[in-house]
Amino acid sequence: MNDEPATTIYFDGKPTAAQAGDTVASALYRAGKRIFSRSFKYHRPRGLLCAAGRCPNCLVNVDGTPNVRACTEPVRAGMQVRHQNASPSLERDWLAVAERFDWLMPVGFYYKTFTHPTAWRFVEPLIRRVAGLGEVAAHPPAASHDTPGYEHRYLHTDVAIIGGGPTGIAAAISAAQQGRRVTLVDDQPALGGHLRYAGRSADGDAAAETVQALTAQLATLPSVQVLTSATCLGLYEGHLLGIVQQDRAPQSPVRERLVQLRAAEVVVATGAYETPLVFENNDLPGVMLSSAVLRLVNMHGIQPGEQAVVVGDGARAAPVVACLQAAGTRIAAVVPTAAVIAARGTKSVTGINTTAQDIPCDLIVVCGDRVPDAGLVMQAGGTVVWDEQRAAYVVGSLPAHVTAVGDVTGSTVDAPAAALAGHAAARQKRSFVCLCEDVTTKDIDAAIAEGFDQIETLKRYTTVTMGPCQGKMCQLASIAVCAQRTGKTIGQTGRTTSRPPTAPVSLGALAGVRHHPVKRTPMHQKHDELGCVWMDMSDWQRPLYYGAADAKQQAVEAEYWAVRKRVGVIDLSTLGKLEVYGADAPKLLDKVYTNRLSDLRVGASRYSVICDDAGIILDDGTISRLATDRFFITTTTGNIEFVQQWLEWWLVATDWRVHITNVTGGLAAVNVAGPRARDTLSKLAERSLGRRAFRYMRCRQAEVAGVPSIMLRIGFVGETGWELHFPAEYGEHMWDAILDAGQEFDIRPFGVEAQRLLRLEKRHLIVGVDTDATSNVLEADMAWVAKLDKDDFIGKAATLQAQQRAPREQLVGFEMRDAVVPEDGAALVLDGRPVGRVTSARYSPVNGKAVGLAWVSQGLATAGQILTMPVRGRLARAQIVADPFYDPAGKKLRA
Amino acid sequence: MTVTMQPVKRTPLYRTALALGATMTDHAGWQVAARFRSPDAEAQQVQAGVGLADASWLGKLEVRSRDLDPAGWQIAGTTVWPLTASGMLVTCEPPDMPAVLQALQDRAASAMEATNSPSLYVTDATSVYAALVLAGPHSRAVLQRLTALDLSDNALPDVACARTGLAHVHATILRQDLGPVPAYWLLVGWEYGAYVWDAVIHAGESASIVPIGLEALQRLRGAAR
Repeated sequence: MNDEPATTIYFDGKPTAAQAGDTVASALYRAGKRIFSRSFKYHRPRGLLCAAGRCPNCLVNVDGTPNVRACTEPVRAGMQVRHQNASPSLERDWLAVAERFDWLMPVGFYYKTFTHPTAWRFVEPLIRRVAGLGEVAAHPPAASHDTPGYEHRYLHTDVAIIGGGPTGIAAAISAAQQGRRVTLVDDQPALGGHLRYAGRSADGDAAAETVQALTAQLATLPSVQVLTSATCLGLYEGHLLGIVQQDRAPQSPVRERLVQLRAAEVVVATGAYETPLVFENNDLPGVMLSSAVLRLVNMHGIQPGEQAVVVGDGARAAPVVACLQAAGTRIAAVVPTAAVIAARGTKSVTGINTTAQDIPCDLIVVCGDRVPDAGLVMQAGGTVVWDEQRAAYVVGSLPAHVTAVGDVTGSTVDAPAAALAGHAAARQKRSFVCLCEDVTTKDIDAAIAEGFDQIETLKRYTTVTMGPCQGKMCQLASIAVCAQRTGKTIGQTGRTTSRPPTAPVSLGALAGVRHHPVKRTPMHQKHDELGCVWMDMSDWQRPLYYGAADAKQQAVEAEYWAVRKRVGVIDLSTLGKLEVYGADAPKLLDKVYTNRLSDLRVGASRYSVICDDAGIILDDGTISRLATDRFFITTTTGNIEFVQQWLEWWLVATDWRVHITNVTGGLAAVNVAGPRARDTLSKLAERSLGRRAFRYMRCRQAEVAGVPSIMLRIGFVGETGWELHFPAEYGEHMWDAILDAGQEFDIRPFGVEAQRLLRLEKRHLIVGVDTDATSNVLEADMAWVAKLDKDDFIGKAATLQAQQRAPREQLVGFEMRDAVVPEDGAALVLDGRPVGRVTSARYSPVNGKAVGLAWVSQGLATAGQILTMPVRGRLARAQIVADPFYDPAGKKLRA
Repeated sequence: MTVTMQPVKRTPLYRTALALGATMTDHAGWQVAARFRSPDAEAQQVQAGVGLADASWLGKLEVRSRDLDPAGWQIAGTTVWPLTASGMLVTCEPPDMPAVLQALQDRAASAMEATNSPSLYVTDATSVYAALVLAGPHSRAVLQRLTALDLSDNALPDVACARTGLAHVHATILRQDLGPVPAYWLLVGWEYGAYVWDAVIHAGESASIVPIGLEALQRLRGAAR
């Protein structure tokens, strides 16, 4: 109860007064709202039941967020609350007609009814419309730094205590006094647990004082961190607790926070919660748990009804009777649990039928079984067992460093035997065991009759305990009914497995902030200034080409001709780069790469691929020997982490002296290529680049434009060219220097698209584009790269085996006979049968026709063979050619 | 024909700093942000709240060997960070780089003489890692949003280091306080520098994080000595 000024919230657009301290549910209930939702399957009206965030009855949409629990959501001025799963309104829901057809929807009807694919196609949209919970906006507002969002936080503590009731607080104080760091987690907005709503009776005052004293003592201990409105979702390996915390501060940029708390020790003090009883119409609005009544009266000052019937035995009923009387509600009767037959009413309670009499009332208060909230105990690897003598669940065993204290241990929970008998007796078809999924005792009877008489199969078949409440409201009842029907004890029946999340959690909280890692090359801004079109390549951003988005072809051809006729420069900083050094580096490289590298001379470079044990090509790149014991390796852009791990993995079991350093980000790289590349770079290089002084496939460490660089004379694009690798901090400087030096030769930067065209004309393949997870070097037409006379290399045995059998298919080059360009991935067909696929195809300006690479069945892989492929709906012809499409002898490359 | 020129070194945050209106300066050949506002104000904000500085110019050397004992590696003007059993990181001021590199290479040479084979390798990793200094009383709270690493004083005291994940990328975190001001030096791949800067600034928004320049950083570092 709170005297702060009133505020206004809106329910389906209608203004509703709320007091500060209200939850959405308490404000609406005070304003007369009784139906808060419609049920999942039958669209039966549902009202407040637990008022503690545990049952599924008050899920609403708040400011666009679906499935918000109204009973735990604090009010904010102007909040827009909307109903879910009902049309047009909660009070009049035409979908309630579903209940008339319940005979069409027996338990497991999904598995029985819609087994034909055609039927399912028609029925599925209808079921999706009728069933389900809430709706996510198709176009949620774009998250920005200004809209409330989600965040992750990582915390560490010595002792994590879950549950901020009196026992949890006491445990926190005790641990802190021993000098330990303590984190106390509670799902309610304030500490105190059940004492918070214990009321203002003589006992209640004592409770309030206890809470006050405990929290005051807690506040004096600096090593205690308290997380309120924080629900523990699960306990994972290594005492990692997943916690979702609501942040309701008006100015907070965060709506929900996922806290990952790592603790040396976990104390479970989650207490016990009250569960409903099973009787006919036990789901009607107006049937409420006694703890919910205490909350409404003592925390919000609400009179829950005019005339109440309290269902409960002895001492359990006394506190709620006193509380209701104090609130002004007349008590029509206190009825023993076993005497209840049915609640009466259509949209809310109008009376109750008991074995003795029918009593009119507008509120049925149920003193339900109290169940230890022991999900975390089980997730920790502990056990919860049924104590036959006391007829209660108790914690059996616990793993090391996990303890349970208070009501969760079961030691203090009343024996619920009478209530259990009540569950079992209910046989009417409107007696709900599971409110989330609309499962009745009839459904459980039917499922058991069909043979699903083990609790775990019964759960899967009926979906009982699988809804938003995660079994909190229905687990005990479903076990009790199952036990009674199968003639077993509750202990023999067992329990279903408790898994995270113990409470519903939004995907936004799990996802957290939108951190999408982006790798940028040191020349990134230069490309941007040149007006490039970007493409993503793994985490990297690379220029696809330089020019307007709608002028791709002209731009790419201009870049292409610059390289073929003059000189071009491309940013290759994204290439993976490794330094491998140590006396045994040649041994490692000979083992992992297919080519022979141990005999590579200092100052020379060689191309090779890496294969796996099955001879499948994994990656390719160049290996350059900078010193006897020092190699510089490039890998494909997306594969650097893999290649590094692969090398380190093959090193593990050896005593070889090899060190591998990933220098990818530390080195920028460019390729300067074209007939004038030598002229361009000669202006910047300190030593001669003459064709005899710096031959093809040689490498050198030298200064270029004043920058210490590794120069590789290699040629992916098929022209005279150098790859320069140099410290990343000189990226912009080098880029500018090269463009300046090449200005007189009309140099042009080129992007990935022109590079792909240039290399395709040379038939240089791209691993992962022209090869896939089944390609070996023999079939990829690269037998030369596997040195089978080496002692060993990864994939040698498989390659030798592959040599013995006929290849299944072959990578071939083709040129088009018709004036069209097939798409990458186009199928090759012969007499209507598929015989292969295109991996890369481009229009080749120098040839005046399209060329490409394709995998074809072995029998067809001969030069001159005509292939056909559908291109834009028509069959086009191509011819297999043996040689590269450009400079087949490699004269330009070596020039 | 050779063109002589004075190459300029730029960090991955060069463009970020320009976009934030930084006044740039030369720091041992590096173009870095001198200040975004007044260095006094920036230093005060770090002392009272939290600030982020680019220190990618920090000299970084990776030393690899079979068995390393960091205790035997005191070289004047450097901090030695033991990362793994066979690898450590040596950091130093940029002007000291040549001398430190020489000292380490001398070590490598004498190690080679002793074992008669090269057994110790030194790599200049300065531009392998961008370095961001997250400093201030609120720095830990900001970092807790981005990494699962235990950042408490027990787990990561002053002059301790750890390798971890940070905003979904690999990072090495060096704790080197600026006197009484806690400070974390975040080393991430050079290519991720701009991304991680943005991620840290975003995580620090609610703590009113501010970018700080070299002058304020050096002032705080000076005060620490």
